[in-house]
Amino acid sequence: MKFLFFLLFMSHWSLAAAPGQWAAAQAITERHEFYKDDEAMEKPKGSWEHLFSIRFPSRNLRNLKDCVYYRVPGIEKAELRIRTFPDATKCDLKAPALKEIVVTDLKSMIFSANDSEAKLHLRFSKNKSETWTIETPAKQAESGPKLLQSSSDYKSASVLLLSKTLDDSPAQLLKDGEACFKVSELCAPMGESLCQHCANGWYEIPTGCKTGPKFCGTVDCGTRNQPACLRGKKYQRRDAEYECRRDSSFAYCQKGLTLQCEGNMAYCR
Amino acid sequence: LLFFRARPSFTRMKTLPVNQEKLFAQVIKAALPEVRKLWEDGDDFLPPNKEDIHCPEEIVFRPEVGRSYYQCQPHLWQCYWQGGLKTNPSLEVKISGETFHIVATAHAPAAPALSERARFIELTKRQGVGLNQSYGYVVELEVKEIPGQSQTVFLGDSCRDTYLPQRIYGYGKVEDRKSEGFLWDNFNRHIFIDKFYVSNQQYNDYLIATKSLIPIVKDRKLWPEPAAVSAENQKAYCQFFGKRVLEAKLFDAATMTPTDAKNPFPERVIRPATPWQRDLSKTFLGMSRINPDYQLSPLDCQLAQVKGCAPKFFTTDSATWMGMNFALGFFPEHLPNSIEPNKNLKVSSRFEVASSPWHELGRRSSWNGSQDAEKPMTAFRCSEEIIP
Repeated sequence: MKFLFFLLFMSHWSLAAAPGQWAAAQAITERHEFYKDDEAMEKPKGSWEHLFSIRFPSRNLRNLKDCVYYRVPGIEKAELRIRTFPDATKCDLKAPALKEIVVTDLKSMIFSANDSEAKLHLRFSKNKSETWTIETPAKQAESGPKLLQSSSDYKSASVLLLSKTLDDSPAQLLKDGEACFKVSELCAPMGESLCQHCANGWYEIPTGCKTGPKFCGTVDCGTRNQPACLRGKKYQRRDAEYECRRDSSFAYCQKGLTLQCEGNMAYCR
Repeated sequence: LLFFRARPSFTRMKTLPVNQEKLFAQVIKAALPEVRKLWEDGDDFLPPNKEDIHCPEEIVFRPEVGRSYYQCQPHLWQCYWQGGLKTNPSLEVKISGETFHIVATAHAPAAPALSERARFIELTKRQGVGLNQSYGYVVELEVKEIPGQSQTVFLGDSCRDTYLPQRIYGYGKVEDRKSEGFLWDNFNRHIFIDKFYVSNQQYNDYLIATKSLIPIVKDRKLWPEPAAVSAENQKAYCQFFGKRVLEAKLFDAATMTPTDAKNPFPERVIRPATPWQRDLSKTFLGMSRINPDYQLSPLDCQLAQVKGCAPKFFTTDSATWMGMNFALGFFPEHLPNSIEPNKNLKVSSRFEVASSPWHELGRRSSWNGSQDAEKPMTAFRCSEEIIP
């Protein structure tokens, strides 16, 4: 059945325009280490090379990627294969893909790619040629949100192109209670925040650190046996080092409850 | 004289791609600003004569509903494309002198609770790692002149909330003039607050998206009005969108206008009694307390809808310094309170006379979390924090 599904979405192209989903491209990733921009790819003859990947959103707002493969002409002719996978999956020439496009009748090809743009110059037999350009949206300035700006506008452009492909692999969202941003006892962040992948929002447990650890889900902060609520470290208008046991004024509990420190995390008892 | 004659102007036309796929991609890209206009400024697409709105299962026009209701409004999108606002709807785009017509398609199945028609727009929640946006609306566009191709487009919920700037804020009222009261700050935190109460229409769409067994509000006239649901259901609603019910201290921050908005570290954090005037006695609310015969003016009712004012929904005349609406008056609002849990209800509303002592910022009572048919309904709204 899976094989049948795969065949259904496998299409052979000869001379055509770039795949439609590339209009929705968000980023160019995994560029080939050795091939230089716009240089002929002649070696190693007959080998399949992964040139780069294109990340784009699926119809159900998940990230997919097209892995762009090129067979360097040798005994066999040049060929281009574009294989679609969920973004978290490794590019693989043989593993079943969500979709595959095969471009045959190629004589040769050169490409260029950077983080925001890629170009494929395809040369077909009978002297026909085609250039495919993949452009990604300009990155938004990294300054914070502005007065009157909406959260949707801050996160990304509020009108975006999506691909038609649906990624219906099992949901990979983090469940309530799972840690989405870890911070060491010495306040060092341990890895990147994954809180945007929480199924139902996230909350932070206040510590004396610049940012505390975060978990998926919601809690009623400040209530009995729950994490304390964030109060901030600047409202007192003084520069201070905060450490839960010495000075816990960065957090608060409901009236009538006592703030207790567990390690450097503030809870209400 | 020949030199000064009027010459025919020539504009150099860029040739359009011959390849249909390339041309389609170019037209769709050029159409996005128009698409955004229809989505975010949907109110501009309402016909001047409101009797010309012909989609009673999506929109029933009421003069007391403000224009904001029609912005980022999935039911206006549905109405427009099913021909409820004009016949043969399309968006026109001109490229290199050629005109193209963009149309949306009814790509999603009908929602029987709403109507039998297939849907032109679908509320979608992300179920895995992907876009920064955790939810939004998905639509499908075609170009009339280039048949056989379509493009899926995401429309964000970009009219919903507004940013709470980073600064030091005060909570509640301070009785002792020497005390600063409870202060806090939101530096390094990106907090966004809904501009309006969650409406019946928004709550309905959530019930449909989650395939809930709770019946929707069917009367379209009531759709712009605030949703009357229990505290538990309010929490579940906001949580579905990755948000939480707006809490009291954020409400105070959004409504208590700072003396100097440019200075995030003020020496003294004031607690004004109203969003538009620090001193209550200078407002119509203060005057009403002194003068029992005070006559409400239309301007008074725009600032705070109190008892005696005509009901209005989705109006923006009461916008606070950061863009949130309905600080005083309008509806009682549930504001979970992590500092004083039993002060979780803004009582100031259209059910209280102008002279009521409840019409003051920071003054709150208690709500038990259930909507009581005997009492005025309690509205709510959500807030969201984004990791910087």
